[in-house]
Amino acid sequence: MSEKNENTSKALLISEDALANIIGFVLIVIALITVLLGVKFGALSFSTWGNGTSLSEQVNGEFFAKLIRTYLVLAVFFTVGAKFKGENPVKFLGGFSVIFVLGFVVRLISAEYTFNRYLEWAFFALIIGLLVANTVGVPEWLKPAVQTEYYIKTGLVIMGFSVLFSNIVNFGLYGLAIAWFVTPVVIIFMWLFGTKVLKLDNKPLVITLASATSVCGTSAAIATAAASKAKKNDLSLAVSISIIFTILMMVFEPIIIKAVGLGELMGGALIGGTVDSTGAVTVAGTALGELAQTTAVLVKSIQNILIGFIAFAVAVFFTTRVERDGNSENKVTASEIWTRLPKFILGFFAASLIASFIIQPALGKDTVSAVNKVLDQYKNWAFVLAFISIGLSTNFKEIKEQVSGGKPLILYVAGQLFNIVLTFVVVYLVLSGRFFPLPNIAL
Amino acid sequence: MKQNKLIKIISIIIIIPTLAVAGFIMYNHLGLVDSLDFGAGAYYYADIPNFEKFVNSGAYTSPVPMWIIIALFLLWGFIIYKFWVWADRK
Repeated sequence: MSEKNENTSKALLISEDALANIIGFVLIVIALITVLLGVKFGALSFSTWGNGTSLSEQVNGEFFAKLIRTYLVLAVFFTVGAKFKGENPVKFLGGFSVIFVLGFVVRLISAEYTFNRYLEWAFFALIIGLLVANTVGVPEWLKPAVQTEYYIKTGLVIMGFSVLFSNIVNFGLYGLAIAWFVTPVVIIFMWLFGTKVLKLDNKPLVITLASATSVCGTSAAIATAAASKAKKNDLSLAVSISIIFTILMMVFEPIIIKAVGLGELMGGALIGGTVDSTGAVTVAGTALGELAQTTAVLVKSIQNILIGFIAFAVAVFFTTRVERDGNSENKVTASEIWTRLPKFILGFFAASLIASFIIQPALGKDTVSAVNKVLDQYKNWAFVLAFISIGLSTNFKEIKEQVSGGKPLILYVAGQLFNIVLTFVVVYLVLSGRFFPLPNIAL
Repeated sequence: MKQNKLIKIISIIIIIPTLAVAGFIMYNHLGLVDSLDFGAGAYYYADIPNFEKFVNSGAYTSPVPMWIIIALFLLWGFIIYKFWVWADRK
């Protein structure tokens, strides 16, 4: 009888990937309905404070309402999900509540004027998690909620709704050439350089760094790390390197472009194709001028849609080649691909296609933008919880090992230099006016 | 062994000035635009305040139909994926 009960309860268990898909899609549907009904559902985000603006200015009734709503929504979804994963929901909720408080601190710090403009919350989430883990340690009661992959997969499915495939026409064939021709070439260059020249055994780290460099920094790194089943430290290393170099590129690229007289059109396209974070692209483009800003954002908006395709291709590549050691002579079957493919990638991809080809044509760009404003903060909270979890489950010795004698850094620098050179060549070919007519961009 | 040592030295030569310059940039608020309340910290387009102003600008109208662009997108994706598998096997 007890065996029968055990079998019955096991049958009710849901895989983590399926749960991420369910939670993600339920949140997307709720966000869509609340936007259409005009009901507030947004999660808490801090406005910039510091540099003359007091933090207390934003602490009001609405602030606390958002804070409570954010906690309740995330706690309910993740705790119920934990129950369906076969975990103790009470123990999970206890740990989750503390990680949520740490997340609150992370988002508070990262909204400070200077930090907000240069560093991402992922950086502070890692630091705070690491500090806790390597000083006071992680108590046993907190560990049930330290679940990096659970939060990341859910955040990615939510993010899928904002990856709008229709943006592919934003800059026509010019954008396709600059963003879509260059990006996979850089990824393959970095893959071969990392695995064959630097002989890095950690292939998930190589592909995570490659996508962070060539696509769009942190968001691409998160998606690719999950698709390649990278270790938590692979993701944190790739994101840390990308964050630091983005600061430099945001400041120096416009200066160099001005110095060499590249012009706003080509300069903006070069920035859009090479600077990792979308915020940094917009700022660097604006520093050059209005045309550069527009061109930079047009190119970057196409790169943003590549996240889903790259993550899907990486998942298939790792399933069919890397996890099978790459040497197997047996052809991989479709059912084997299906069994081993991380299913949340399908949810991420499905959310993107639904938003692009069903919701946007039916309800318009403005509605989709309004829904994505709501979803973006839930996605950020999920990622904050994930990065705190990474920090909490990492010790300093592991980080030292992860650095692999400096090889990941060399890989990033070589890849970024190749990215800049190749993007420049393509930008010159298509936007110099020597080979093709110049695009008519309205300002 | 010698190569590993060289890589280690090069990476140290790169990372120390990089961190120093990044710190200098942040301390002096270099490269910022006063009118924009964000920077590199907005890692994804939806993190930019009022992102639709930048992303949904409709600044360029493509004379090429969407289906051609999608077909080229998928074609290049297929070719480059096959190339990746081939190059990795070599």
